[in-house]
Amino acid sequence: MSDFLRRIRLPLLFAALLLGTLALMLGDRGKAGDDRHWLSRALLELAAPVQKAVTRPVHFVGDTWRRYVALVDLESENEALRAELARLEEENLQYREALVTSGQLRRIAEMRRDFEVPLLPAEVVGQDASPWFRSLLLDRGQAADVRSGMPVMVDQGLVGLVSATSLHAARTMMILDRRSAVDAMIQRSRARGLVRGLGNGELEFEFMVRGDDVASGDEVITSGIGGVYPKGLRIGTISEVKADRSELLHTARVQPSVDFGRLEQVFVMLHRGPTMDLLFGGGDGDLAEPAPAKVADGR
Amino acid sequence: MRPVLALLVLGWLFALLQGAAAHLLPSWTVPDLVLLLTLAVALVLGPGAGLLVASGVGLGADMVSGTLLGQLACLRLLVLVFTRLVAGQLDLRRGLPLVVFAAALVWIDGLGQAGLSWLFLGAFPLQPGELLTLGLRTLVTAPFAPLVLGIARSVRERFDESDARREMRLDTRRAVLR
Repeated sequence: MSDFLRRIRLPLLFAALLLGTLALMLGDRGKAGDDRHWLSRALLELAAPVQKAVTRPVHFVGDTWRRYVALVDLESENEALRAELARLEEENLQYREALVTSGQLRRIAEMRRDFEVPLLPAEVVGQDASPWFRSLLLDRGQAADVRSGMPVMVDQGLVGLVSATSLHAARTMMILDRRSAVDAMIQRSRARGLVRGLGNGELEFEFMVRGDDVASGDEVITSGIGGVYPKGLRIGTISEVKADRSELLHTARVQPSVDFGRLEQVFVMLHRGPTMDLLFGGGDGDLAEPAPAKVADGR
Repeated sequence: MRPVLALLVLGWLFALLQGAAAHLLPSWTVPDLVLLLTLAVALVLGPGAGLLVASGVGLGADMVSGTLLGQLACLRLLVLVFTRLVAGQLDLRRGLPLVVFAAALVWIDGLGQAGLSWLFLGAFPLQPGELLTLGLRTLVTAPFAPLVLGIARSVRERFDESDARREMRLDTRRAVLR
């Protein structure tokens, strides 16, 4: 009997471990965000500080390179940016004038108030090394009121959505991830569609053909519909429209406005949309409401 | 037990290093050291210890990745068993066969990840560009296989050696051979 047990010990161990991992996957799939498996939360909690310690020296080397070595074209770039700034200021002035005359300024002020919620800065301590997934590890978690379903952004635009949290860490699914879909619209023509991550660092804008006006160079922003992201966050610029008139759904390539390869600090919007609140449960009901406009001093 | 723990810690360190490097560089330029360590563990440890290290290292990789918890652990277990089966037929301790096998393993593991994601998360269409990325990742990862095998072997020997040294201590005041 003991000989038999000794012989099947290894197959038994393999089967037990394999079944264990399958059970973990099934359990993790069924749960969303903050309700994930305790082991998942514990590992996430453990990963952030260790990853931070490993990432810091790597950052230091990268920063040194960027600040002191790779500054060859800085002067010409600076001049070009100054010219661009002057042009944009002029353009902005004209838009303001047009908005005031058409009475839309009030509505824009309301829109700004809608998503002027506290923004929590968080450090990016790690990134997904898997070829198929695009996620970030942040050093802020539930202790800083970060919850699954909260949008993450930088000054350039939308980064993604918090997908899992532990006490002091959070994982963010980037909009580049193939599982990500953002309800978006063209800023100029208001044509609506979905921005999907292709998983290879590119974005695609899917829109219905109803005479919708989508052209290269158009800015793509979040539409606010869907209750996940607030309206008006910048996603990217249309780089190529794939016009196939025989199909109902058209697609266009979107150049992301965020440089995802250089994310060091991001901002978590401490506000969860109604859809996310339904999805992740109402345990944090106070967070579902737009938070008081603590940062709206500028208005 | 100590080689198991040492290799486990090494695997977790590799996972963290990969995450840190992928933060600065394109992900395809970062070699999959955790996968290579699993390969090495299959060659330098016994089957039982190898299974424990492979699943532990896989869980470590899961924690810094956006995959489902257990997904990489499951794949690492399968990789370990597959490697041991192949090692029974081919001599994987030599450089070229090892690199070629590691290259094949990167593809198998990559497609396995896609397959499991498809199974558990639904549609998972692969773009041609992604397969190209996987190809580039293979080219970056496979040449590191002999190095990782060397590291794993020296870790095992180092932690085995301390046990052996205690047992093999000779009393030099006496003649060893008569």
